[in-house]
Amino acid sequence: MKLPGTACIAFLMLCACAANAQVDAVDVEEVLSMADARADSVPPAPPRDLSARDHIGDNDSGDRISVSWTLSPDDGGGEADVLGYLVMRSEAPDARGDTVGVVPAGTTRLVDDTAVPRTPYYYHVQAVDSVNLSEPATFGPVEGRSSFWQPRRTSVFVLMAVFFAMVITFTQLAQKGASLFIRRIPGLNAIEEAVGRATEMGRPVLYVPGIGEIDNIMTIASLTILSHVAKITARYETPLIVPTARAVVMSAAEEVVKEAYAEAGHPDAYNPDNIRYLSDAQFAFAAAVNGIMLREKPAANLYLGAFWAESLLLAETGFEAGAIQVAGTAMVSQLPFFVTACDFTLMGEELYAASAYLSREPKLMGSLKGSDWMKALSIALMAAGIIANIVGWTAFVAWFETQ
Amino acid sequence: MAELFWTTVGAILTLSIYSFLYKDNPFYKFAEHLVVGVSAGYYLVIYYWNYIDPNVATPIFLLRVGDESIGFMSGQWWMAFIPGLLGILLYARFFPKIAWVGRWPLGIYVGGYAGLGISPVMQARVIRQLGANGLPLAGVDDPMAGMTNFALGIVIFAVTTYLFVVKRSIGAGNKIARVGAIVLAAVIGYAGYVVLTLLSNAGVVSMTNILLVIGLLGTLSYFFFSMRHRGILGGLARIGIIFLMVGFGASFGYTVMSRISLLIGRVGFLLHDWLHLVD
Repeated sequence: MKLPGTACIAFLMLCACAANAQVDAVDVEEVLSMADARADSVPPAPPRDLSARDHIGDNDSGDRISVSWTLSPDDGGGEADVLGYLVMRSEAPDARGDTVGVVPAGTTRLVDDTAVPRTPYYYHVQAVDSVNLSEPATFGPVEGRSSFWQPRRTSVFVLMAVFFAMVITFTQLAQKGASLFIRRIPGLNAIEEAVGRATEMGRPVLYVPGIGEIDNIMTIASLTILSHVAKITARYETPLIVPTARAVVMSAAEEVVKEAYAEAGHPDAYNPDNIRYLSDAQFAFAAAVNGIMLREKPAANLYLGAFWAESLLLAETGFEAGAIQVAGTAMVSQLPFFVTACDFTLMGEELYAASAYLSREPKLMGSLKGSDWMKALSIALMAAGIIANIVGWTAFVAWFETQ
Repeated sequence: MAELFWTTVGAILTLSIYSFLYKDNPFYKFAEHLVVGVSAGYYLVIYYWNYIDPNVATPIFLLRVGDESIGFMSGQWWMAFIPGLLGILLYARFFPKIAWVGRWPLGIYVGGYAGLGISPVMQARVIRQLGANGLPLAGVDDPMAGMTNFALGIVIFAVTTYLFVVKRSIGAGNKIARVGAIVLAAVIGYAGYVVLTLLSNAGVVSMTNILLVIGLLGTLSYFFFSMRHRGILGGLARIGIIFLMVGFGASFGYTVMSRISLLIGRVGFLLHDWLHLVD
């Protein structure tokens, strides 16, 4: 195959700009300086033993394919006029396809990291001299596939396996009736006191499950506590108002409260109008809840779930209205406001522990105990990391690097 | 003219919401109901055009994903149809006889998200934090040393003042003795700062890393529910709650600062955009 000399060099420059190869782009000045100005009518010999395979590496998502070949006989020998190799990729064996990269002479591999996973490709490699391109060497089809095992995430697998083993063990112990100790959490006793106070005053209880979506773990924990609170309010026949900011959370809250009232033996006392969807908009929700606090005058406000900037708006308004307030969230940025404005606050994991503490359900107890001992393991691993740093064993700390 | 009208509407609604600071009143009620209603309508449109239309309606009825045509009963079609059907089943709760059907999509939704979240949360919030907290306690260059040692000097001064003046009542009834006790506490605090700085500069200790490790140990101990907080665990838990409260105080102050800036923005809107009283 013959190409005009300047067109060939311009082509190489274009390929160098367009390529996205792992190997360094061709230095155009170097190419020009190496170019043989004499006219050359003989194309170089093509590269040999071309092969391509799925590239296996750390965090491989199947978008990499390794292409390798043996040098053209005219690269460093024979005509000795090979300047580089042009690597192209197509989805059909006869199609020319797209340029993947241009590599200088002497290079025998290239990693294509632009492949679409599970797409069969054909790779074509041509040797290039100052004027001509060799006949293409073609190999294919080859597909990129993500690695089943990601070596860098072994630590995630091991620690997750340990955690699951702990949770399953403690869950089975709880199901067999073993006594699993959980220390007293002060804020939880306050919930019952708050509901009792509302009953004495003849005013409702306001339960805000946060503004998180149903897939938020804080919302799920909040709904578990809502079940417990609903049973108490059913027993005392105290109205329970549950404003929500998400439609699916409202559906779940309705189910939880209805079931709790039925279990408490007061299904007739359940009022679906008290489970209200207000608004998805954060501050519209806060404005509406503030309105409920001032107009319906609940004696107890329970804020348990995921909150953002509206937390202080709610807590301050409730304080001004004179209600007893118990809050619980794992949002670190909002805890200061709840600690300041509420009578009791469940911080972080106390919210998750509350659901197990109140319900004593074996699965919840098992997960709480499992996470507790995972914390103990974390402390031990951290101490080991400090010692490893002191003695210079960096491989131990590097094992936790997952990227 | 239109801009002046809508700016005035915005200003009136702003003042209506602020009137809540005095007490509940019809203006606040009107603004509250308006924002709740408008947001409900707004989000309905947003959710339809951003989620239902591209992910369900267009693939199923127009057989198109973006600009790409897909075939009837092709993989893309099924991937839109099944979740769409599950979403419609959620509405079964409005019909008492088949309300139980609505629990299935809810269960799939909650369970699916919980399961998908386990690995990334474990990786980002546990494993990588473990790796980052295996810190050397000495012999490292500590860029935060100056600030840490100064803060510790303040803490030493405060604790010493408490011990002298409050606990031991030095200077009770004698102002000069009390002032002397506070000055002595300040000298002790400064001496502590100097000693820590010398040790940090010599690379003997890295106070920042030591504080971080102690704070982390204490906080983890505070959230340990399987044992009563007594003895060593109780002491560590107490240290942990102190660290938590210091952190909360800093976060509170920082957030109040940002909320004040929001207020400045609103007052700027009223005085500049609406009344043109300021530049």
